[in-house]
Amino acid sequence: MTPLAARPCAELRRSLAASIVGQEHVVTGLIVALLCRGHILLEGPPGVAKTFACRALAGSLDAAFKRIQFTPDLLPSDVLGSRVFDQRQSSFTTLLGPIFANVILADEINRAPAKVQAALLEAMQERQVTIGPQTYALPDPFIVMATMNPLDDAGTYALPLAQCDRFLMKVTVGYPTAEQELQIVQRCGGGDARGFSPVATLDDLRAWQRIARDVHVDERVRRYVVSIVAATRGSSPYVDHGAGPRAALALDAVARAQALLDGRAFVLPDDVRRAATGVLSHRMQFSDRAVADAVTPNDIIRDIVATVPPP
Amino acid sequence: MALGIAESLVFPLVALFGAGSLGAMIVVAAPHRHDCKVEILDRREPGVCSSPLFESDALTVLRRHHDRASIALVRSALWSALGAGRNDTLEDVLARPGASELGDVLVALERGAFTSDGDLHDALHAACSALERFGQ
Repeated sequence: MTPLAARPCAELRRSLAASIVGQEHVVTGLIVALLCRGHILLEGPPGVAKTFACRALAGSLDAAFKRIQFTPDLLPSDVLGSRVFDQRQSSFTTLLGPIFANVILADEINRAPAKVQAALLEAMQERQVTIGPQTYALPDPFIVMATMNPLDDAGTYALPLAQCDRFLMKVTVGYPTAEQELQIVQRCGGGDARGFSPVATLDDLRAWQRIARDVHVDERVRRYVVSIVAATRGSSPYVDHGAGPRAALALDAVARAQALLDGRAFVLPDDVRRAATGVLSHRMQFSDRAVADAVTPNDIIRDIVATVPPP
Repeated sequence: MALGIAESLVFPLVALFGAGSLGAMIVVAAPHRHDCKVEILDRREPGVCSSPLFESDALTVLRRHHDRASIALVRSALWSALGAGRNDTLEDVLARPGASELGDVLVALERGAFTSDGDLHDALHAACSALERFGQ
C-alpha cells in the first residue's frame, strides 16, 4: 500500500525521534500540524517535554522561531507589536512583535487574559496582524504551537471555544514509561542535552504541504468526515456543544496528512477515525454529567465515532 | 401402641435424613462448580475464507470487471465472511480471528476501494496479486 515512492518528512521524523524520548504521538502530531499548515495545542502536566518538543521541531526546521511566555500581565502589544513615536523623525513607527516568525511557541497559553488570546485569533486564522491602521501579513509558513497545563489551574484563563477552534488539533502529552524516564535521565542528567540542527528548509516544508493537499479523499470518506462531525452535535447527554464546520475541514486535512505519513496518496476511513479525538476534543463542550460520571472527552468522542458507519 | 407410633415415624425420619444428606452434598459441591473446565480440542483460528472457491470467484470478478464496484463487491463479501460489523473499519477487520492470513488481500482491497481513479488500475492489479498469493 505504498503508491508514494518516498515518504516526506522521514528525515524530520528521525531527527525529532532522536531528540524526544518516547512520545511518538506528539512527534506525529507536530508533523501533521506542519503538513496541514495548522496550529497545535499540547496539553499535559509539567515536565513531559511539551516545550522541548516544540523547540525540537523548530530547531529541526530552518525557520524563524520565537517563544512567547504567556503570563497574566501580558498585553496584546507584547505579542503583536506596537506603534511608537520616533522623536527624531517626529512620526510614529511600528515595532513588530515576536509573532512575526515562522514557528511560534506560545508557552502556557492559558495564563494570558482573554484580551491577549483574542489578539491571537486574527493572527492564527487570517495569518495577518493589524497594528494601528496598518495590516501586516505574517510570514509563510506560520505555525503556532501552544502548550497548556491542565492540572495547575490557579491563575489561568480557560481558552474560549472560538480560540480552541483555531487549533487544528490538540495532543495530550502524558508521563513517560519508567524505561523512557531512565533514558531521559541518562541522556540529559549531565545537563548536556543535544542541540538541534536543521534537517529541512522552508521550501521542503512548502513542498510537503502541497503533497499533503493533493492526497486523494474519496467522496464516501468525505461524507464519513462530515457525518462524524455532525454526530458530535447529536443527542449525547455528555455533550453540551458539538464541533462546527471548521472541525470537518480540520478532520479532512489531518486524515490526509496521516495518510501521507503512512506512505499513502489516499485517505482511508481508519485515518479519519484515528484523527477524530485529536481534532474534536478541544472544539466540544462537555456537560457536567460527563464529569459526574467520570467519562473522559476521548471516551465520549470514541463512542460518538463508533455510532457512525464507515464507508 | 408405642410400637405403632415408632413405625409411623420411621418413614418421615428416613426422608428427612435423605433430604439433609442431599442438601449437604449440594452445599459442598457448589463452590467447586467453577472449577469445571471445558477442554478445547481444536485451537486453530476459524479458516473463514480459505476455500478455493472464494479466491477463484473473487479473482474472476476482479479480472472480468476492472472497476471500483467489483472491488467493493469482493471487499464486502470478504468482510462479511470474516464477520465484520456495520461500524467496523479495516483496523477492526484485521484484528478479527482468521484475518491475519488475509492481511495483504484486505489492505489491497481497501486501497482499491478508496484510491484515486488514476491509481485504480494498479490497485486492482495489486488486489489480484494478493489474492493469487493467498491462494498458493
